[in-house]
Amino acid sequence: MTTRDAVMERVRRADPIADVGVEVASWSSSDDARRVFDQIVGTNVVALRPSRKRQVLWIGGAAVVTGALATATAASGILGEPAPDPIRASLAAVDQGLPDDLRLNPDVDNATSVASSAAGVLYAADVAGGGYCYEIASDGVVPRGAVCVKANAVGDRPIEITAPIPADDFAPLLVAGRINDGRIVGILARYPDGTTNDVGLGESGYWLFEVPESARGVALTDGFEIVGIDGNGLEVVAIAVPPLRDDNPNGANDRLQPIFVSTFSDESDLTLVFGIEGSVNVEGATTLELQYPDGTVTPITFAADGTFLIELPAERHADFAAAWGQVIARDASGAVIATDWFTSVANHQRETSPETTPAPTG
Amino acid sequence: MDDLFTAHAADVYGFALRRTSRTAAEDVVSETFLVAWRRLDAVPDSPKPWLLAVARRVLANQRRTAGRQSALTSRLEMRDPDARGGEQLDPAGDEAVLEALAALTPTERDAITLIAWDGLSAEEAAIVLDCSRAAFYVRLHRARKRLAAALASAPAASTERPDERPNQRTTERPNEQGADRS
Repeated sequence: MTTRDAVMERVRRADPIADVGVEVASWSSSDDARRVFDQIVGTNVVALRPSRKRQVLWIGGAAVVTGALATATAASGILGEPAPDPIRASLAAVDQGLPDDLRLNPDVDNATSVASSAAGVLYAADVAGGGYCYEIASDGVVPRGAVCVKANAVGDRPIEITAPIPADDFAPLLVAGRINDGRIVGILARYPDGTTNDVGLGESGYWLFEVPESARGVALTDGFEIVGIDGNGLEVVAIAVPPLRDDNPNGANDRLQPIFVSTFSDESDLTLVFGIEGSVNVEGATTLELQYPDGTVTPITFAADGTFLIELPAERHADFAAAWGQVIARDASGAVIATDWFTSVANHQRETSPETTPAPTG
Repeated sequence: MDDLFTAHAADVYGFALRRTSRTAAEDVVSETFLVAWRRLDAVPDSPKPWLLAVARRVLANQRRTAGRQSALTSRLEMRDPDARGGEQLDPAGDEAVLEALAALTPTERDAITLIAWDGLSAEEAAIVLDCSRAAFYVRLHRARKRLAAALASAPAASTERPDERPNQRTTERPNEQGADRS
């Protein structure tokens, strides 16, 4: 049987850059690294350079005035401005590595700003035949990942949406896209609790939405919807925006597990387990139970959405110091349909194998 | 900033290069240090996990974009050195490991590879994944368990290059989740 340490060693041996480790280790002093560094410096200088434009434009019915002190970092509200070089390069890169017959060849030379928010600008470039590519720029001219739609797919997407994951905890949450359904005259963001924010429109159906600070948490963990509204105020379509943090410990990824279990403990003593929380996500689970290392079983109550949280009795806190517990889901007939193991953090550090623990009986 | 780049650019580059193409890895380095420069006051004294956390999110956005590209493109980048910027990165040793890693959730995969490939401690990896140390150990445990199960049922490791085998199905690199570009 494959041991757990052997597994990690096998993964280490499969390191994709193991054969070029020397190159990577010395990469910082390479010409490539210097070029990248110079690019970073250059980008920052561009982003901090004051705009020389002064324009008044109408966006969503409100006049937006930009002055000499407006910078590229703070979105100017100027629409129709040529895309800066890093954005054009990012748009052009969508064809990177593609054979000629698959290239979209977006018209990056004529890419312009089509929507803006306080912290971002949306740029778009046409694709021959009716498609388009677009790119959110934040922090000045930092591209967030270009998205392209070919002409024959435009009709399949009443509202096109792109939702970049924020680069750090302070980065604004920017979601953008384009309205492709002629019935839709307005859009709004709708959160799981039913509250909404209006989304201002830019040019040619493009829009850029900056999630307000009050909704940042829910946007990161639960996501929200973009809703298209017609001229009668009726909902035409609602499209889900996934949680903007794909690694959120309470987010969608954990929901992919049949059972997800996480322990909580006092960081001062990692041999103790004060309780467990998680979710049962397998179809058909009607009961959930906790099996202690000594075989004692106790039921776990879980919510309609599958989540559970139980605190363990004080006399059980140390039970998992060097042993494994198990959460077991059963269907209506009592058959085991999913299990997951857990133990104390300290026990993990000692690499005790859960596979040696007897499996529960169904 | 120059010192930060000199000290840790290779770490970020290596992290990215394990998960994307050479050209894209340079972009990850560029964007990561651009964020760092603008958030210098937020960069901790031990910056490597913080930088890799930013790089991980940058990579996630790259994948989101790449998700718009065709599966064919992904395969071309896997197989064609020119499409990957001339590099010859091919794990070539243990395809079963890569397949098993690819079958994990992104979070589980990162828990494994941050330790095994990027050489982080559990505490550092927890910072990268933005979770508590306890939560990280739970994820690592789950990932190891699933990986071990997958490998136990997989054929023995091969040293053949994938493109040398007839009728070889394409293996996506870990963290590359392709979808059709419309």
